[in-house]
Amino acid sequence: MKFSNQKNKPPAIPGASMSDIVFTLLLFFMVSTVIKKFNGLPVDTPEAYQVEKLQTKTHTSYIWIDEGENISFDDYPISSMDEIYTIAREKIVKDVQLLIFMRIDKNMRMGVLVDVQQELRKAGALRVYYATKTKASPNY
Amino acid sequence: MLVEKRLKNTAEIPTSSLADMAFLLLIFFIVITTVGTDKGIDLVLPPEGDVKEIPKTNIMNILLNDNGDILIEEEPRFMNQIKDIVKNRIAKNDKIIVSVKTTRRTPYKIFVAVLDQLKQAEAKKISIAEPDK
Repeated sequence: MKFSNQKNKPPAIPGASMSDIVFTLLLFFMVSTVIKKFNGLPVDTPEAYQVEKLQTKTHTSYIWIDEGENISFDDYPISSMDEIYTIAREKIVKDVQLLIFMRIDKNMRMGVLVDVQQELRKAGALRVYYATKTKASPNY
Repeated sequence: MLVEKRLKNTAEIPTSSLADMAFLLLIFFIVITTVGTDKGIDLVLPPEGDVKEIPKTNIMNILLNDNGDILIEEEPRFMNQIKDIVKNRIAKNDKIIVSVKTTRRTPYKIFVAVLDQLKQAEAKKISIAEPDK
């Protein structure tokens, strides 16, 4: 008759440790969240096949260049090339692992990019990413 | 004696709603977290004023003109040929440096497509030459 005794008990999921689990998840998300303060410029990036995912967001700065040759470095609008040097220098001093993620419109020409890269090289921010969309086939 | 009775009651913080509050916070953080969707082609720029003498046999020149036409080693090529040509050259000489030279008017789209081809050919040493002024 032991069996029938056990059957009569309603099954219950232990809820005591639930809050602990939830708190652990909560901590994970709080730590991994980087809150963005800016949205940059409207940019349509080109497509590429062999793309790499950006590994880190904490060490990344963004440069936007839109079709009208407007440049934005993080949320700061750039009017002369010297400013890129100044900002990049400031950032690279604070964070040696700095990565520059460049979102450049696909209808742009190389001139502006060359100038921007010249300033980045002067500042010592050498690791760059060209933002692309992923395309399905490897051929052009 | 009324006072004594009250003191005997142990004070308790209600914990039944703790999980609910934690859930709300959790949902908030899940929603505002952007999952890493930034993708692109990585490149390391050469430091300023870093001029190295490289033997001509170890350099492969890719030139791009204003129209986006491609010239590899003095011969005009198509975009989808680059991968195989570069792969063959790397197989022959693994010290090869692929130098991409553009003009100021070269479309950025073409430049990215060429870099994409080089990455597909597993070229490790890519150099970007400055356009002539």
